[in-house]
Amino acid sequence: MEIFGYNSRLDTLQAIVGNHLIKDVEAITTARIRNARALDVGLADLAGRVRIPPRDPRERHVFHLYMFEADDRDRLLAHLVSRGIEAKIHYPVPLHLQPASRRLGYKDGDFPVAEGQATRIITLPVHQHLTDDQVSYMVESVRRFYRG
Amino acid sequence: MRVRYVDLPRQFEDGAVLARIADEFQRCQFILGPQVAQFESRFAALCGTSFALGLNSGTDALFLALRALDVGPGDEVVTAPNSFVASAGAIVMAGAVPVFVDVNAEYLMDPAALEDAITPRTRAVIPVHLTGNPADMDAIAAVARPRGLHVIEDAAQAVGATVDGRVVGALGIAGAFSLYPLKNVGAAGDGGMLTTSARELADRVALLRHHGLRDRDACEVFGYNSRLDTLQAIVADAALDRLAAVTETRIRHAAFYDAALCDLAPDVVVPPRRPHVRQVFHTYVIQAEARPRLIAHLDARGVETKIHYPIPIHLQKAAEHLGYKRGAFPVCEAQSERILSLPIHEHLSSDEQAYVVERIREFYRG
Repeated sequence: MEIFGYNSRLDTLQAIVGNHLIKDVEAITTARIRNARALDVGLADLAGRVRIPPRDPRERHVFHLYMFEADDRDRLLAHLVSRGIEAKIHYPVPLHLQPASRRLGYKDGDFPVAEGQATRIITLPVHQHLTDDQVSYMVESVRRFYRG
Repeated sequence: MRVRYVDLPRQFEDGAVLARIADEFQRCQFILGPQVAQFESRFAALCGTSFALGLNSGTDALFLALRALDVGPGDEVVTAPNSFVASAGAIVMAGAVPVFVDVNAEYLMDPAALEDAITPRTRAVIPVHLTGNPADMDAIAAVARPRGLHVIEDAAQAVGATVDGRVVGALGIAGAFSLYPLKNVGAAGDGGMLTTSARELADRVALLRHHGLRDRDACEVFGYNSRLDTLQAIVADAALDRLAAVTETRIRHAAFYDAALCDLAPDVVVPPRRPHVRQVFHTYVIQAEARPRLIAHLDARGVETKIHYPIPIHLQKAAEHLGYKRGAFPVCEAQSERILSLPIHEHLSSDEQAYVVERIREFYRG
C-alpha cells in the first residue's frame, strides 16, 4: 500500500449499465436538444412572464435540465403538477444559504443573481422519451397559466 | 483435483437474484430504494441493534462512525496492525492518527497492549474481528470505558459471530460491516453496513451518507456520498437468506480442519478456540512452517491458498510517516511470515477438504 486511500470504485454492474447507455449518448443528446428547442419556441412569446436563458450558438447545451425563470413560480409549479407534469426546482436553496454553510459566514443578499434565480427557476421534463404531444402539452399548460 | 479458494459464481447459479435485479429495472428506485430499507431492518435484527445503515463500503462504515463521533484531526484511534489496510485507512480518512497495538495467538487485538497505547489524544478503539473471530470485547471495554473511549467494531469479516450469544455489531457504540463480494454476506460490488443502537449516531450517519441532506432541499451539514446501492442491497438481502446455512457449513469445515491438522503442531499451528465464542470463519488461517514451500506444494496440486495479510499495516509504505519500525509488533510480524488461509467457502465438498488436509500432511510427514 503506497498511500492511505479510499474505497471509491465504479461498480462493475454499474459499468455494464454505463456501457449500455454510452452507445446511445448521441441519440439522447439530440432528442433533448430537440425537446429544449421546442420548449424555447413554445414559450418565447411569454417573455415578460417567463425568461428563458440566452442560447449561445457556439455552445452545445446537452440539457440535463430544462430550466427557465418564471413569474409567480410557486403557483406555476402547483399548476403544472396538478396537470400531471413533473416540474421541479433545481435548486430552491442556494448553497451559501444552506444551514450547512452557516459557519462560512455568508448572508442573504451576498449573491443577488443566484438568490433571485432561486426564487424564480423551474425545471420542466426534457428527457429523451418525451413525445411531441407531451412537449406541446407542457407548452400549452404554461401558456394557459399566464394567459388564463 | 482442483480446490478453488472461493467459488463465487456458485452463489448466483440459481438465477433468483438476477430476476430480482431485473425487477428493479421496472421501478428504477436505484438510490436508497425500498430494498435498502428492507435489508437494513433485517441486518439490524440479525445484529440485535436498533439501527443498521446501508453504506458504500465497510471502509466508509468505519470512516462515517468516526466522523459521526467527531473523531478527527488531533485525535488518535487504536487498532490492530494485522488487518486489511482499510481498518487504518478509515482512521486516516477521518483525519485522525492510527495507533497500532500487537495481537494475540488468535490474531486479535491484545487488550493488555491496548492499555499501553493509550495517550491523552486517544479517542476511540477499533478492534478487528479478524477472520470472523470476535476480539475480546469485554477486556477491551474494561480499558476503554473508564477512559471514555468509543469502541467501534471492525466486523467486516464477522457477520453473525457471537460472544456468549451476543452478536458482533452490537458490542460497541457502532459496528462496521463489509458487503464486499467475498464476504459471508456479500453484494455483487462494494457495500457496507453500520450498526448501532445509539439514535443520535444513526441519525448523523444517515445525514452524512447522503450529502448531509435532511430532505430533498435542506443541507444540514456538508456530508458525503456513501449510500448502499439498491441493486447491491438486493444481492446482499438474498445472501442474508443463506447466512445461517453458510455459517454452519464454514464452522463445520473449520472443525474438520482443526481436528485433522492439530497433530501437525508445531509445523502447523491452529489458533486456540474459545468455547463461548462463535467464529464465522470468513477465513481459516493456520500458521505454517516453511510457508512458501507449502504454498508451492499445494499450488502444484491444485489447492489455492491465500495470505491475509502478508505485510502488516505498520510496515506498509503508506505508514512510513507514522514512524513504526520492524520489531514494533513481534507477534503480528512473526504471524505475517507464517499465516496461510485455506479454502473454507461453503461450496467446498468433504472430498475437497480431505484432499487439502492430505496434501498438507504429506508435505510435512512425507
